[in-house]
Amino acid sequence: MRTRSSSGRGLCFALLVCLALGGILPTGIVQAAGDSSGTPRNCQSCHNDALYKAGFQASAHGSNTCVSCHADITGLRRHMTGENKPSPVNCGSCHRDIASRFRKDVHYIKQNFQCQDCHQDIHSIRKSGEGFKVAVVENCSQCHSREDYTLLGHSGALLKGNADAAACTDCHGLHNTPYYDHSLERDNTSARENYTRRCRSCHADVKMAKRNRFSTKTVASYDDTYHGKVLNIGFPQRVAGCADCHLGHNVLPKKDLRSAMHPDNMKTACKACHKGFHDRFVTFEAHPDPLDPKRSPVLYWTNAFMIALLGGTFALFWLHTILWWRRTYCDKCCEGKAGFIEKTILPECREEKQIQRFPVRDRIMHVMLILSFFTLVMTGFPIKYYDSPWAKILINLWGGAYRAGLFHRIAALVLCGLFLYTLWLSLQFLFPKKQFRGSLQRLFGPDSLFPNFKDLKDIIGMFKWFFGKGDMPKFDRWTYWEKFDFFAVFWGMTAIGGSGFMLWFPEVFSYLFPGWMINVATVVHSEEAFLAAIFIFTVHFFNNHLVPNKFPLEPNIFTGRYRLEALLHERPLEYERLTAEGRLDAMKREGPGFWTQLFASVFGLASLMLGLLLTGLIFWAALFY
Amino acid sequence: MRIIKLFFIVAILLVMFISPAGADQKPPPRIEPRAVVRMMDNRENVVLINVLSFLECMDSRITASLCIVCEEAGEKASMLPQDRNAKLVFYGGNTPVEADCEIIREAQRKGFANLYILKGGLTAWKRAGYEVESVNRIPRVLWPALKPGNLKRWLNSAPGALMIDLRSPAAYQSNHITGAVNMPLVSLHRTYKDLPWDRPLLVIDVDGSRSFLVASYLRRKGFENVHRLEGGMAAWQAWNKGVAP
Repeated sequence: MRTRSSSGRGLCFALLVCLALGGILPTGIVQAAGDSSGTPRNCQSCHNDALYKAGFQASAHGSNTCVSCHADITGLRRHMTGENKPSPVNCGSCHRDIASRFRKDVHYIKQNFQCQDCHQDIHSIRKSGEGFKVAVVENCSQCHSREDYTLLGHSGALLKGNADAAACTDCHGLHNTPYYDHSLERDNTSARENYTRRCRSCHADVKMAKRNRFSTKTVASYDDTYHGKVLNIGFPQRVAGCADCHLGHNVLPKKDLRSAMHPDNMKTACKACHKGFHDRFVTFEAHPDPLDPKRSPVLYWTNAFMIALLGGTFALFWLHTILWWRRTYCDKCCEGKAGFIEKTILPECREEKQIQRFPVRDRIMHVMLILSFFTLVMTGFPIKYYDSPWAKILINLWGGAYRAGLFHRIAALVLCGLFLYTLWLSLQFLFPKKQFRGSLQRLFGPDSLFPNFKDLKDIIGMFKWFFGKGDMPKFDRWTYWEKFDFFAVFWGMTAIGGSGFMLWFPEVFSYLFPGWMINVATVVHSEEAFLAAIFIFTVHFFNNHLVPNKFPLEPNIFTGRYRLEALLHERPLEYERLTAEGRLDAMKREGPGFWTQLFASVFGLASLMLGLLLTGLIFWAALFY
Repeated sequence: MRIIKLFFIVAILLVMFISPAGADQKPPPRIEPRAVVRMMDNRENVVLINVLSFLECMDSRITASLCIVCEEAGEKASMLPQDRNAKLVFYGGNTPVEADCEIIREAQRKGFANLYILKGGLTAWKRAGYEVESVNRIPRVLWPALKPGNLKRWLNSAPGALMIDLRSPAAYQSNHITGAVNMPLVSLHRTYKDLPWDRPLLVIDVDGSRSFLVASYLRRKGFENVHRLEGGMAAWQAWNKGVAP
């Protein structure tokens, strides 16, 4: 600064000398005064510091004349006499783009900075070339303490000449450093989005990672957490971005006591959003790797189990479905060729007596189950596949991620209510009027949904039928696949519901489990949701609606009635049992009314089509994103 | 006698409720920069009043604003326009202008009906992309700020250092760093001459946003050893929980 003051005084002195000599102007100066071209040579007659001579000629602006910038000096004589003082230079007349961006820059908005405040060496400024980033750090450090930055790994690499290392402007921008008012939520959100994007631009760059020997898994693993997914779907208001945990410049190794990642310090960062958690909450992995058994063994084995569960379930049931479809389709083709007409389409079929299968209570419960399940799928899967093209569209249909989250939780509570009510009904079935006698018979009896030995025989019999090695097994009231559907809900509710509540109330659960259990819950919730949705939309839909003899819809869960003919054909053991017990006549009903049929058709078909559409979207996302 | 007593009581009550001084004045409504520009485009009689310090107002203000600091209402009240129907828009920096700002109360007392406070102040005005002017801009002098954590070490290394608290006397009274003297920013352009020329100076403001300008100003005035506390008193309190260095 002293040098600059000296040069300023020197300038003033030079100007005074020029003025004093005004009366006896040497020939050269007179010529210069007559020439207002403003070429450096003319101006240097007075402004004859080395700065303006050698420095300016070699500077980035060296090809310009003085009046290119000091355009308001129109008369040299008036300027020399002090009448025509130059006003501040408008750099924006050439650097329009920078000037435009700078109007949004925090230095302008908060501190009223002008170009010359940072570029005080404007008359000797040179293009930095390879040393640009170092020059940037030096320039910013003139005001901003370098203390934090020098702690960073970035600074060390930069000073060693690594051009990939982040300088101030890589994160904060150059001439467009955004201003954030931290009292405004929208500004905090913008800041979170901006800095997370900036971190990602380097840390997710595969080529840069390879050059600098770091892993892009850091970003990928963050994206797989609730924080990452919700931020990426476009709702950064309530989740942590990079700088929320790493606290700005503090990206020291976790073991360093000064590091924001040190367990003692991490509480501070977590407390910004989470309140009232146990100390073990901080063992949550913000960058989990479920494929690394050494780092997170429980997470690894949970993930492996879930993948095996998904693989095993789908392998078995899709094979079952394909074989069933093939067998039924072949049978129908044969019947068609032989001249048989499908009885269900004959008008008299609609008139015939039907059997009461589901009471109103069960039908309402199923409708509620469908509604809550679709809500959960349509609000949850956009988060799971946040980067798929349809995710944001679906989220916006709900009115944004916040409302989608709200609907997700409401639907979850509805499903939990249904689950608990079903549990209560099951207990009532087993112990009617608190009678324990005969409960075992009821548990394994034909009206029970509990699997028994006959189900195993039916599975084997069914596979034999698929391959033409025997007749289709005779079923009673509940088939083995219906029992599986029922028990899958029990398992699913425990897995998805339990993990869901853990994700909903992570602070509360930190008093029961360590923080890394939240990572486990995320994997379980996500994978189990995939299993449930795809199982329902493929296996359940096929077994109950899309199988050729029921296509396109089996409406009995909505109408509550079952055709006598269907009962005889599909559940002969039940028919025989009801006949033998003399209960069949009491269960006969008229066919469903018009409105019931209309509702069953519209709601049922709409649900089927929506489910199939969602299946397509989920597979699209799972395979390509 | 009883009637006289009653009369006095009624009179006192009337004075309390009717007189402007006792009246419970509503704070002026907040107005968006865009709305102010619209009023100006409609050629309405809008007068913008910058209530920041004189230094700040001269450095950067909305074009053709008046510079009247809240605390100097008495001295500068005459600067208010004669037209009582004029729309007065008061603005400060980022922090909202207090409704009890003395110049606003003075304008209310004088009968100005259309008073507004610019929402977001000068910062919001600039963010919205509108022009400002610099009447007497202070060229910035670049110098790193002192972190609160380094203050104690710095004070030990500069035993003659003088800490200058730029906040209002009330804020200074409520809490301040031990050893700091109060020299409010609103009058610094008059009082800076009282500062010692030969001692290191440390300027402290509310949140670190104004001390940069002050440090630059003092350096331009010839004080060579001027420092500023990064983040101001807010950062100091956050770091030190109010313990003196």
